[in-house]
Amino acid sequence: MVKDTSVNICGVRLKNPILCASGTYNFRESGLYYDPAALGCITTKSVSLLPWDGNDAPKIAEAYGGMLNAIGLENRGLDAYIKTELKMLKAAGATVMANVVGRTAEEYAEVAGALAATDVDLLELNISCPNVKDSGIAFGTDPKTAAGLVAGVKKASGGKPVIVKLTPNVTDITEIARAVVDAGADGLSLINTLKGMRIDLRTKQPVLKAGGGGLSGPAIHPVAVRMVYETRRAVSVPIIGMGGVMTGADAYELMLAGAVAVAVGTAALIDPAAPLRILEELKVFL
Amino acid sequence: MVKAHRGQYPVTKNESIADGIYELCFEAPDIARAANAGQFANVYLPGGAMLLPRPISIADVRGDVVTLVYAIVGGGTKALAGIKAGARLEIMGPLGTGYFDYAGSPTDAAPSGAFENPFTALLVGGGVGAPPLHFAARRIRAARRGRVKIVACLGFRGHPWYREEFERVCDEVLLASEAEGAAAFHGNVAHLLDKSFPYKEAGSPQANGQALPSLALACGPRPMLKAASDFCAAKNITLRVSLEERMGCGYGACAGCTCKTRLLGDVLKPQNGPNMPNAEGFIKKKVCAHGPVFWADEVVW
Repeated sequence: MVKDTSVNICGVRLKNPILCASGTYNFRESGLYYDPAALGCITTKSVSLLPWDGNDAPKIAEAYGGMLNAIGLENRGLDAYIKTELKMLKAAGATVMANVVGRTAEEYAEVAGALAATDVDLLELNISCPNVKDSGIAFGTDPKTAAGLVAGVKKASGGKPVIVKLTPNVTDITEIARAVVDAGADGLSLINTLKGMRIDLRTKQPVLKAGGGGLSGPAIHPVAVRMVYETRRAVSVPIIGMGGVMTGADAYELMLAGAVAVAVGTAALIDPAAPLRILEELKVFL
Repeated sequence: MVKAHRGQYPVTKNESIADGIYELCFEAPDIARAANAGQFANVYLPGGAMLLPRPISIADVRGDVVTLVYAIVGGGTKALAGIKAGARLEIMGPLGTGYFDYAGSPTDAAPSGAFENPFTALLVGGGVGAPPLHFAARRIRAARRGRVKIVACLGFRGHPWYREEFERVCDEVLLASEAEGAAAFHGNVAHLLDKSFPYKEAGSPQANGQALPSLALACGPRPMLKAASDFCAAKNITLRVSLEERMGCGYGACAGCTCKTRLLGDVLKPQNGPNMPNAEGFIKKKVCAHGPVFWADEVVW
């Protein structure tokens, strides 16, 4: 008999606890390597009301046991997302969490409101991207601002579960966690990337055109474990853990820390089929 | 896009062929069968400290053996140079869109009118950008036999290398070096192009009897590609360029290598990927998946 590894997140059943993290899955390309319906959930790349251009290259730099990115939330906007990526993923039978971003609290609410009318399963609010100046992390480092944004989105999202993705770039993540949960967040995703920088020894300038970027990969896994552990003890909503998961053991460690499900990000950039491999490895522990 | 192959492939050769330049050969029947000129392979380093792939253009395919040529530019390629023949390397490929991955290309079973009759193909390469053009030359030669004249214009910082490989498949190999006395022409590729093709534009009479290139393919540093683009635009030569960019995944998931392009609206120049320009009139495309080969005139230089 096949063991039931399904988990429930805010009333949405995921057939297993492995998700892909936002910005590391693309239906056209990643879809060549595995069936998106085989994962618990596909988190899609941040979507904004109108298309965003993102940053100029270089947007990627390597670091010991990790990588820096400064993509800058490049995306084709809400309309294109609903008509193409979301439509194709739902047609393929996938459970989908849409990662939402905006330049203002109103924009977040407008995108969430439009997505509430679609068959997307979950919303994930990105208030933690370190790579855009006027949004993202700016909303996720101050508890009051974060709470206000979440309250606005909850009002607009018509009962669609709202997961809030938190940044580790704060003094105390549990403070933000409590604030957004009090404001109505149905669940939390953590952690987003850590702020970092590489400098080219030859040019003596930052490698990334944007200057700094977000560090991801196995180097940040212990940070994620600790933050999930602390947040679990501060709030009672479901937590999706993420940060440097390369193996099933890494995923299980985050679950032991208190995550109900785990997202795979950087590992999928190194091997598109990594989420499936990690799922198989995780099953040994469950 | 089609699914790339991935595996631990046996390395048959990994040797220096010039100062700081290495030739890596590995046995990969599946990659070899699928590879097209201009495509690349992701090479993953063992150890787990350097996680990201090194995307390297395919320089040749012979039987089951794929050849990549790379320059040592940092810690990753330095570590790669230490891999010995007999070892296995994690490799994924072929990836990206190549020089001839469009309907009507010179290697197509039904090439467009311009390539049915004898024509001249011009290869413009700089440094480690030259080897992928060698693979392209072999593919055009295989498809068009004697109905193509291939002229290579290659530039190097020091002594030219890969010359014999090009001479075997090209009708003419013109070499430039920025080091005085290292090649017949002292200077860069742009100057060599101006000197070698002095005519005003395609269709005008030839001073030196050179046939008119109908198609040019380029690979090398961005300033060289831009110069080739200006040269070809002025002379009305169709040019395809292979762009280089720092990549994250190399297969289209992360948007780490996007570049600005424009919509051409030319049926003879089919374009990959999204076709809705943004407010500024640009379309961001992924160098790894929609490219690395683009039409020169779709690139926003």
